[in-house]
Amino acid sequence: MDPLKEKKYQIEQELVRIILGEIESEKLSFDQSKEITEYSVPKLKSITSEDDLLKFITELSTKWPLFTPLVTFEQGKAKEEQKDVVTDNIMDLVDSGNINEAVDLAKTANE
Amino acid sequence: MPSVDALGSREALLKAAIRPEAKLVSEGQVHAVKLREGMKKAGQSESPVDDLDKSLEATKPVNPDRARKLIDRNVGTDVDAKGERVWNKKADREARKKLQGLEEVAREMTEEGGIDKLIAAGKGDQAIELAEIALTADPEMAALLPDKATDPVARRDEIIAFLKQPGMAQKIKAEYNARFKEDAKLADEVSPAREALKKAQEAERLNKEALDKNKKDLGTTTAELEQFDPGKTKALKLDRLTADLPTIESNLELSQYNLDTVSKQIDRLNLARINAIAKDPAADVSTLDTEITTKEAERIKYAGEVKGYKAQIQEKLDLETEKSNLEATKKRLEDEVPTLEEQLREATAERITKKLEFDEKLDERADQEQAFADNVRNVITQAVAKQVRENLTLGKKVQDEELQKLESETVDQIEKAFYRTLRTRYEEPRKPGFVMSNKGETQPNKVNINQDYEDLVSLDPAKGSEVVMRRLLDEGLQATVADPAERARIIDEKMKDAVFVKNTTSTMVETIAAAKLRIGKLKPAEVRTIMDTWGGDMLDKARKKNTDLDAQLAKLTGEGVIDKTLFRKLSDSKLLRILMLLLLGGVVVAGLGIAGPALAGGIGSAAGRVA
Repeated sequence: MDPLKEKKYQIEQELVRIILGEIESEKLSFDQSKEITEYSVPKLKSITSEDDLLKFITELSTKWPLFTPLVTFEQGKAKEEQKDVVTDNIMDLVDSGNINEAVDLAKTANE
Repeated sequence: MPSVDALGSREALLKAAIRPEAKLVSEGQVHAVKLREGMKKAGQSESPVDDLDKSLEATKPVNPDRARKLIDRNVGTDVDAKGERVWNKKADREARKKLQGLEEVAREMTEEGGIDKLIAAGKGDQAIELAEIALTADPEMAALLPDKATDPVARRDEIIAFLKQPGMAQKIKAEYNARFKEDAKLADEVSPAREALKKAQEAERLNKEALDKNKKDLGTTTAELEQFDPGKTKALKLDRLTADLPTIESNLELSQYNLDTVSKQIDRLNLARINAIAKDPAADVSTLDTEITTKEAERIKYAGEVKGYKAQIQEKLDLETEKSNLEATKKRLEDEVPTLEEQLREATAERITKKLEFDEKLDERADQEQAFADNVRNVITQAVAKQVRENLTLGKKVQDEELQKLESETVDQIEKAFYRTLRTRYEEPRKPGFVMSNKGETQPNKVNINQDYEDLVSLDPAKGSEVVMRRLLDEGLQATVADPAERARIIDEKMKDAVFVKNTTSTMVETIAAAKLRIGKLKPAEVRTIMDTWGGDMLDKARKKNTDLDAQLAKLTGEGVIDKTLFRKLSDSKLLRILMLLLLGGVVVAGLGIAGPALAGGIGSAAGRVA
């Protein structure tokens, strides 16, 4: 499975887990659950990038705040991933002897 | 947030079932378990949210109360003068009753085994008839059903089997719920239009009344004024008075003078009489009294004359005033006519507009009611149509997968192109407007199917398959070889490859015959040609690729129905059914609900649907 598909699948599983949990605790009615899935199904089909996916869950949490923890978690994860990328880049620059550029990049990343 | 997994919930359910007093299970938990089971039952797709959506749809309870209210509200437009709905209209009552009956049947069918309950209650025929409409609308399905005239029992059994297919109740429920949604209540646009029409009618009536009154007044005034026309009574009178006026005025003056004179004389005589009595109370005043009496008579006469002359003058003035007033009134009334007529015209135009709008709203409402009623009628038909489409798509999918597999397995680019062509040549994008059309759906390409099929069955079998194979090879090569002569050379070379020709011929024939079955019936002679020429190969291939089919064929062979070497001896209807079994494959046949046992029974007894 390609990474986007896998990520989408994981997010969907998490959405389903949240919805079913809310149904179980009777915080979400049938009609509300159906409204959420009917809103989500076409949106999910049109997602073509991770940005789309993050945008979708952000929109979803705006409409239904029960998904806010998922957005917070995903945003945190995205930041971590970004940090890892920057760290790797800094290390690459250090390895290739471009110390000044590595320092600049580290400064920019910390801003 | 509490998170109870399916197992936990199941355990809780079981505990509650054993010890109800424990009350461990909430309604939400029960619902969540059902949803998880629904998702599991449907099989996992690539989208868990989509699975949940479908499971929600499947577990969505039907709401008969809402359905009844919708039918009550949405059928029958009549309202009385007060705007209240009229309930006693027979046609509306009957229409509602009919729809309620259909709703009951559809509702029953939303449950697994609903058709059995309906049949037991003697109400199964309606569901079967509605399913039959959808089944016979598709040539492929229609061909699978036993003939209505010669074998109605088998036909009915197969339709019932179809209605019992997994997923059928769920589809009916989805259709049912879609039709009886809260927002299916028709908006009442008729009443406001009726009110607007009433207002316009009243405005027109008032305008007409005003114009009529004007005309009536004008008529009266004109008639009265006509009395002043030359020769008419009042004109004669006024003329006479006008002519006599100098004389009247002169007489008045004289009479007034006489009246004044005689009045003074009477005053003097009365004074003389008083003086005489004052001097001598016994004085004789009889002469004075006689004179006073005479003068009093004269005064009365002159006063009468004055009054008469004045009355004549006043009469003249009154007549003149009357004439002038009548003329003014007539002019005013005449001046008002155009305005009043214009106002009436506008009011009439407004009334006509409002009437048209009202009629339009009535028509719209009738259309909406009709659409609502059709929708209610179509719950089962539409669900069956969707199931048919799903089954047929599945059959096509299986075939496509096989062709795709063949395409990927071969390293020969010509063969790859050939299989690709075979997979794509008989489908085209579905045209908009089709009832079941979804974006991205395809429909059979009738032109290509008919062209290849005709060549296959009408030419000499060997020649026919060669012509079609060359056509398919040519189409496959067009993307890479532009020159037709070069393509012909490559194809000539390929056709010398006996292994290729042998291996691909039956696949090609199967694909084309299956495509043909999707768009119509096969003629007995054509079926015989296909079975006699390629039937043996098809049977071998089908047995290899599908154990279910193999079991079914073994059963049929065991019953003596099928002997692949004896196709020629079998009747046309049996041949068609065997052909369909081979072409559609075990998956599709099972999916259609006319699977092994039903089909086996059908082959022995049904006449089939060979055109």
